[in-house]
Amino acid sequence: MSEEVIRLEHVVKHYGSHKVLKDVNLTIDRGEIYGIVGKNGAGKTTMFKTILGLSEHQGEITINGKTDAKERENIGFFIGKNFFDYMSAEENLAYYCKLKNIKDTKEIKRVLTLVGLDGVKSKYKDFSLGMTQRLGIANALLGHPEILILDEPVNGLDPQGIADVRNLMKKLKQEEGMTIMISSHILGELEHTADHFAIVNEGVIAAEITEEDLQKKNQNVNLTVNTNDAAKAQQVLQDNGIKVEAVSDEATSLEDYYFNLVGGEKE
Amino acid sequence: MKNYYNADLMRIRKKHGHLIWLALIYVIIAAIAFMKCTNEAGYVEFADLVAGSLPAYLGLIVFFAVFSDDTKTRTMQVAIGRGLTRNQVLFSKVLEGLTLTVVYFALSGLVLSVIPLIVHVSISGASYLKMWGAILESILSMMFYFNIGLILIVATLKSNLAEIVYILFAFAIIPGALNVGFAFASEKLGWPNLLPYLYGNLISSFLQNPLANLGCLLGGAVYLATTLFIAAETFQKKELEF
Repeated sequence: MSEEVIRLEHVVKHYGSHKVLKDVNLTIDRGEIYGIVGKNGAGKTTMFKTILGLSEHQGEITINGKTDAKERENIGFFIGKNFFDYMSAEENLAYYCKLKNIKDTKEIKRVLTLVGLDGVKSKYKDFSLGMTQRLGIANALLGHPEILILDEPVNGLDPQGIADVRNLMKKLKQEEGMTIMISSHILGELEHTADHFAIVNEGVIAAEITEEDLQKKNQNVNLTVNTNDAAKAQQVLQDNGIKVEAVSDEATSLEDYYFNLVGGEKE
Repeated sequence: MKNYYNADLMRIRKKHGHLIWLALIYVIIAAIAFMKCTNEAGYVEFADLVAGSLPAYLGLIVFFAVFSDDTKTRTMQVAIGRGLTRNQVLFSKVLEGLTLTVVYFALSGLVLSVIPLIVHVSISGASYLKMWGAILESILSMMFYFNIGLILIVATLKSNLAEIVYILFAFAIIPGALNVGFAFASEKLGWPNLLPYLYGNLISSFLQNPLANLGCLLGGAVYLATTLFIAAETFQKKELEF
């Protein structure tokens, strides 16, 4: 039976007369990877901020069934770049370990290894955007939080980095049963990562759909035939009583092309 | 709350720039103190001047250390996201400021107290008491200036304006202007004399004769509580950005 972890009920947020969130209702169950999709300014980050208590709002937000601020201790999050220029990745995480009261000294190495930053000695001020994103994710993972909130975590990452994050999310779900709320405006990427999607548009949840529902919508079977004679292939199928609705030149995705060319792991 | 306080003190200790400035100031104080320490009267006058201006140089370092990097990295927001209430975050900041102020100011007092012993200039107990009284007055002044700065920090979530206003207070520009303004209003315009009720004057009166002027201490406490209350109210309503 599913166990509710985050619930937003009739959440409304406005800046002056401009309503950013208009009666948002959603429920996230334990172990779900919940993808929030929407264009810039749709209200994704504001939704995260209200969950984290950074934004005054109307309506109710519960975490593990409670409205108590202390429940937010169960959330690891990456929304902004909250690091000190003059410290290394390890020192920055040591700061957050203290703030989060994490006493396990191996925890920093564990999360840095997970995001591929173990052994990086340079100061944060010298980090690339991709390294900053990785450090942000590492910080969110400190202390094995029950819930992870990640706002655009793959921005600035190279294709290998994007694939790494995707695989990490899946691993965290499978191995630790972590509930993950993740936003992105890169639909293709989120489709590979999340198992439940909410489409946010102009402050409302325009639609909610699960990965399963999405697959059910695709009732036709897409058959890929590698041939240099499409007409002949079509004729063969039709001769055997198979209706062909469309024939198209399907290009290899850039991601596939990249991984074929340079190697690395997509899955 | 304790975790946030500890984490912040740790990051301040790790900032080399902060430590270098601190060391430089102590070296300068010690160097001038060595030169000035030829007789008791001259030395006490110098020590009074140093103690009285602690909020201007050491206090500024404390203010920068507590707020400057914090507002840049928005760690207050992270702490709130981790379950701290806004009041707890505010209280942590006040405690951090107070801790650093007491330690750094007391350390300067220690430097000033030790140097006469090294150069064998005899200083009376009363003079030492006067010097430490001036340091205590500076700590109490610093607490008020810190709270004023805190209001601007939580109102703007940036440190620039708060730092400017802190400097205007610590270098006695605003307190001086208020003193002149209130004196003018009282003498020339016939307004009631409010000069004794200014924070700095209340604290001075209390320290001159603590037992007789306990009411002044209470008045100072009202100033501190009011500024803290304004900061808390401002912070509660503030939209926090990442």
